[in-house]
Amino acid sequence: MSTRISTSPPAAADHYLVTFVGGFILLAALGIGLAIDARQAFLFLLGGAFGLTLFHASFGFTGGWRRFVQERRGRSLRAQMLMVAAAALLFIPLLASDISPWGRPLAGAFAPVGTSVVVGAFLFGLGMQLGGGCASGTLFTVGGGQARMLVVLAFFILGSLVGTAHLPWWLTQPSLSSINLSKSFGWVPALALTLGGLGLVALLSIWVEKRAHGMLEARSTPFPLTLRAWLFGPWSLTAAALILAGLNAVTLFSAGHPWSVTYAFGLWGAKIAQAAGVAVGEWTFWSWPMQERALNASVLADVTSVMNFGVILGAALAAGLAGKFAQGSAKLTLAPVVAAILGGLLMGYGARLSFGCNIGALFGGIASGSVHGWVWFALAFLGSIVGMRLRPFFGLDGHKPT
Amino acid sequence: MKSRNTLLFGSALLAATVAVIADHQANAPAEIPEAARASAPSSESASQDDDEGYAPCGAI
Repeated sequence: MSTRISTSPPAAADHYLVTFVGGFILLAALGIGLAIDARQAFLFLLGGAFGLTLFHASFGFTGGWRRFVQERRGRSLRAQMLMVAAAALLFIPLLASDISPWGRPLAGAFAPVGTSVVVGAFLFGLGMQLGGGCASGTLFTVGGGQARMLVVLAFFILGSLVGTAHLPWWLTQPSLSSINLSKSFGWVPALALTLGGLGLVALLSIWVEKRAHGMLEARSTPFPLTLRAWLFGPWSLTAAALILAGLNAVTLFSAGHPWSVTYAFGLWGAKIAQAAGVAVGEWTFWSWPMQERALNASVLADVTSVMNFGVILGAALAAGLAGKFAQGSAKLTLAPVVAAILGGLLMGYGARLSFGCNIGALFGGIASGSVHGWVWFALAFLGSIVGMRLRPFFGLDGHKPT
Repeated sequence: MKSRNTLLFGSALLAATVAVIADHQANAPAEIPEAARASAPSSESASQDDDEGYAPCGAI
């Protein structure tokens, strides 16, 4: 059987948007390359690939966790586990090696296991259900033209800024130091433990789904096999999971650290506050050497920022290609906007306390072999369940309390 | 609704682009004079200070 290759765009493709956003991406990459360097321009384009993948597969954590808890459907949760497992297969051996591209060793996402992670992850999980998207979800839906998510993003930035003001205090609270499974047990047992843990979550989701429905849900979107499907979407969750893992490995190798999203939000907030006359540079957090340097450098020199710009624009390009830009966006009413504000604030504050979001802490942390990633996952999931209970009070399509 | 969101997206993109350019202009490193550049340490060694092994979402 032969596979027919077709590259003709679907009738719904938004040609103007594709041309404009595509041209903007190329110009911006050129500008970043000239203003900073070629590697930074590459990372911007890499962010674009993340955004395109996230949009074409609608790959988000928030909806997937909600479907698992409320409908006992675990397909999305299993795709997330596959993504982290595929990344761990690349990350753990790479991080244990002596490879030092760009003259410095690769750095995994490692963080202490303490009060700040427990509290921050719980708040983040709660916020992501109220906001209707996690950090990467917020970026790709903003790129997809969802006005409500612009509100979430604005307050995500504000919450992150407040988080940077409070983080030094949180770090004085009880905590274990960071636990790197590779250093504790060696990289092979660390990889086995990580894959085993991810496999257990996937098996649990299968057990729960079969118990509730008798069988697993049939795959709704096939693996993209034609060039047309790759260009215009939609992509299956499995395809997206494997691509996101690969892109994160490319990020680790080219940026020197795993993909992260929320650090930039705090930086953007600090720069905006500084421009408004707030003496952010005097805050403890922003006087630490790395943070001080980031605050006083061009935002284009910050890896996380340029990758976030890329994610938004890549998602906008995908939305144009699929003809789905601003599709399904409803009129903004007060209650969902209040939920967006609260969700953004909680996610921003929580992410700063817990050293990242689903991407930086869960995806990057677990794939690096860091125990804080697992603690983050458990607490964010718990917070998410509370958030699902609160959604109906804001007119969101969540669980109706009985 | 779609045209309103497109307008909103376009405005946000324009505002963000202006803000990024302004920030870059304000914070871009000053040009190093040729003579000073010759005696300055290479960027390779300068990059290996306290940010060695740093991940943005990792421990501070």
